[in-house]
Amino acid sequence: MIDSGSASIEIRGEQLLLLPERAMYWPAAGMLLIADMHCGKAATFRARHVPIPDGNMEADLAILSAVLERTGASSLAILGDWIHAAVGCTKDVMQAIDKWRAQHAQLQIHWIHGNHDVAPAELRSQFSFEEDATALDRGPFRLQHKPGVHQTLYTLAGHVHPKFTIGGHGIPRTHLPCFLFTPDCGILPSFGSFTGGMTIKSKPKERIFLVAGGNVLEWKY
Amino acid sequence: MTRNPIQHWFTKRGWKPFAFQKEVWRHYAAGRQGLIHAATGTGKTYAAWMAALQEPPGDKLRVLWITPLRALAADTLESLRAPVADLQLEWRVEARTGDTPTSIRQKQRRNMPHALITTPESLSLLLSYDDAQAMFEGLRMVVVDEWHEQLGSKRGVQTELALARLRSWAPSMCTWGLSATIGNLDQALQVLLGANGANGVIVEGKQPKRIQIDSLLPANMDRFPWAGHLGANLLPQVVAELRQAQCALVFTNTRSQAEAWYQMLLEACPDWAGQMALHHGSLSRETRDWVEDNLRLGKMRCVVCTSSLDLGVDFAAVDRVLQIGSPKGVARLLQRAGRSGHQPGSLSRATCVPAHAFELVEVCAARESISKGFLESRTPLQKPIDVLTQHMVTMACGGGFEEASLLQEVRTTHTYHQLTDDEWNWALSFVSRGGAALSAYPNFNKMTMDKDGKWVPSDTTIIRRHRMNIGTITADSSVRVQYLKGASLGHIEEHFLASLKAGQAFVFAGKLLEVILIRDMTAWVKQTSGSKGAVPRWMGSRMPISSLLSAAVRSKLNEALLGQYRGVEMRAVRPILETQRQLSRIPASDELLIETLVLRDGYHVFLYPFEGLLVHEGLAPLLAYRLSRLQPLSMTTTATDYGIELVSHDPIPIEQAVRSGLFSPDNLEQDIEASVNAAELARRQFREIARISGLTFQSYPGKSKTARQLQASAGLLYDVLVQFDPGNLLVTQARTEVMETHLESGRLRSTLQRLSVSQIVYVNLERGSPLSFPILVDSIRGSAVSSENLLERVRKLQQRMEKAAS
Repeated sequence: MIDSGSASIEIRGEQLLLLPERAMYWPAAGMLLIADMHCGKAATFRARHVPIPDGNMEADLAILSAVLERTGASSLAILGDWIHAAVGCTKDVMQAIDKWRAQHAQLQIHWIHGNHDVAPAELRSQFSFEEDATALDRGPFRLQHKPGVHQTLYTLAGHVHPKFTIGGHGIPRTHLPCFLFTPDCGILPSFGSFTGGMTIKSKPKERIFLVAGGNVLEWKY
Repeated sequence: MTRNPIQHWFTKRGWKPFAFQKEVWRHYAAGRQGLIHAATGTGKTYAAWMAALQEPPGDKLRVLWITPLRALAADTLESLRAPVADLQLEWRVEARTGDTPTSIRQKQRRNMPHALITTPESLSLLLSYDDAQAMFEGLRMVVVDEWHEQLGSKRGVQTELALARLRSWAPSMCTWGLSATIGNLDQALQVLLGANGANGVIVEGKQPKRIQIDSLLPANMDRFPWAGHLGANLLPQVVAELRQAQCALVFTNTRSQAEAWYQMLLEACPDWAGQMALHHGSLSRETRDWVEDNLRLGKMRCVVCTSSLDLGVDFAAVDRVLQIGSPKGVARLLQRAGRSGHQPGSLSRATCVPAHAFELVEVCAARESISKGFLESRTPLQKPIDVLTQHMVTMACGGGFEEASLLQEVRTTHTYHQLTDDEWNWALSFVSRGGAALSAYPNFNKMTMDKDGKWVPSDTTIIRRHRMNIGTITADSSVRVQYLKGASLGHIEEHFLASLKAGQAFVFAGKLLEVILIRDMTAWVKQTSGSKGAVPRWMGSRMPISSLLSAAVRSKLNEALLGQYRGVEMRAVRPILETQRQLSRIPASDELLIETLVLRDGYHVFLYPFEGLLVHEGLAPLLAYRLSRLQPLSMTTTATDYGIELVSHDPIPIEQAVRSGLFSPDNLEQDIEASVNAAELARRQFREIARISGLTFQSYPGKSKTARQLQASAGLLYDVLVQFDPGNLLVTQARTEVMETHLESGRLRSTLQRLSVSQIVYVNLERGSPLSFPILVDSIRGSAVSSENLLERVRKLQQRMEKAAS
């Protein structure tokens, strides 16, 4: 089941599925969207002499593969920050990504650049992705890294790593990753597991979907 | 030089050397070292300093004076320079702290004075230079001032490691500690001297001055609150007492309390404007210096302060000390009382101002403990790996280290004398290869071995970054408060600023302020007029009662149960304890009282083990976890010094849980681990460990881009390490620190053993009892524990909020 544990939202006449793996699926276009993977973050830390072990990226790539399989997506849109820093693109990191790419050779990958994706062209070309430097327009949507407002299109973005805090009434305080939809822009949670987050507050006219325990559900208060 | 000039100097000042001072001089002359134990202001400084001055200065750094507070360095400098100037000795005495200008620090490195006053951090920083050995090899004496303050802290461990290094460079060096009274002086001496302590002596200083502890008693006990922290009820009496004093220190337990009391006193005594001041750790250095100078000059009538004035040079003018709220510890009360009464023949007196009824019991219990000579101990830490790794990098920067000799040296300290080879090897691989799990990553090379077999940093950026982050104190992210035109007022937590609404006034540094603009971690403010402002809260500002004092409180309550009310405070609080007896019960020392109460917000259970906040903070989630195992249940817990409250929207099966082993000491460690709180606490504890061990940085040299790439919260790093490097000893350390230091699992175990054989008394309350009140109104809710899954929790929360909205 594609929609196991997921929530659905309709925007500009298009149905979007919000998946508990912190990804978004657009069935009509067969497109999976993720944001802020931050590949090679641990390697970046090590290159700067801060001892952090690997493991997150491999685990995240495996989850990404599973979601691609489950949804049967024909294309993947990366809403920026696929890599963390050029210095973190070590041989091991590149090999792991190559291996993953080889498993999904048929997949069309749109890499929209984020503020972290500053890497030399020869490094970027190694990923063999379709590059879309700053934005990609598809149907009613503009896909880009930083949230923004477009005159006609609805923006889908990342960058913020939104989290929402629940708790009180006898329930422990917990920060949960979330999807946030304003009237003009939808923001995805960060896909990478070695990423922090920014706590957001709920505002009128905005919808928040929490990722909790393998489920996505809308927060109504 | 003979002893005569020194004798002469004392005589000239109208002083006479005390017997204990002469004793220290004799020991020092004989090459012995030790601990000088004396109350503040009784001549400890000169006991040590004059010992050194018996000999000529030579041409190298001869005396190192380690002080715990930067602020004390200036005062100490003055004290040490006085006899040098009077006797026209050739000793050059200087201070070196974070406040010392760079130009002077550079000059000092080229040409060290004969005596240097410094802090543990500045000392470690000096050790990170490759010419450190040349600077220190002529040392004859190291004095560690206020050693009792450092003992049991990571700063103390940092000092221990530095001392071990200095001893290896200057084998004939003597270490002398200065300490106020604590419960474990012998251990304090052992920790100070480490393996080097065979010839250590404890020199008993002058007997403490006569001490008097009393309380302001409420005129009408019926109207005295059962709970609260501020103690504003007794303001008129406090003012009356202050009016009789020449110069008073008003101690509070928290900075917020100090700000609030300063406002109240200013309002009550407008004629004292200019003679009244505020002093706490978040105020700017200039403000605090101004207050201290005026105290010294006798120009102050009254200073409202926190523990920021617990230590340091005495102010002769102070003739009165007031303590707002319970002092929460016996040694602390004694220390604060000792800040008054330096005039000949006068006694040291502290008057406690209870904030609520039960604090009267605490004051009475504290006075009895003092009269029996019972004081709290400071427990030394057990081989913290984070401080060790920081020290290793410091040693690598300071000319490199040879593995076997550094290990041997580290093991001469008391803290690490039982460091295992495995632990050492892990720490070494952490700083060289990045830890055992990283052995496969060739691009991690923080440290390399040079041709002489010494470990050295692999490039200079590592050295620069390390120097900027030496130390064991973790500062909260704080925002500087500064006038639009002019002076900086101090720091408040970002958290508090974020809670302010636009245009809302707040009270800080004794002034009513309004925020104009927040930029670059600075809040630009202007003074404003008006009625009231919000008072900032500083995190972690709650002060727990000591276990010694909580045991004393238990025995006072037992006396009350038997109808014995000994001490004026006990007689004053009698009506309230009798109300407790009427509505519920006064617990005997072999009983556990459990009260239950149903209120609109849910089912409340109160348990009163009287073991102090720290133990209760560990016990509360443990009990909640065990309860939630009986049936799916979400609970919020609150812990105070006296007891624990569990609150749930559903009935809590407390009696059934007690019957099925709620207090059983079996599986204690596993159950603590499993209770959500332990994991969360360890994650929080990791913040300090990550900072000290160099996983996160307080400041970063040069490129902000690199710093941004390394942005990750300590909590996130903790999660990554737990999952992908479970053998990481820093992770283990976080858990151990939570278990031993924070939750005191040893005391938790003995508490459970006591509770499991206690007579349990259940009382269903109709309304809150006097004992339950302080817990019920404590606004700082503790942790919540839940055995429901995340999804279920979100759903329940939604439902509850729907219900609340309708």
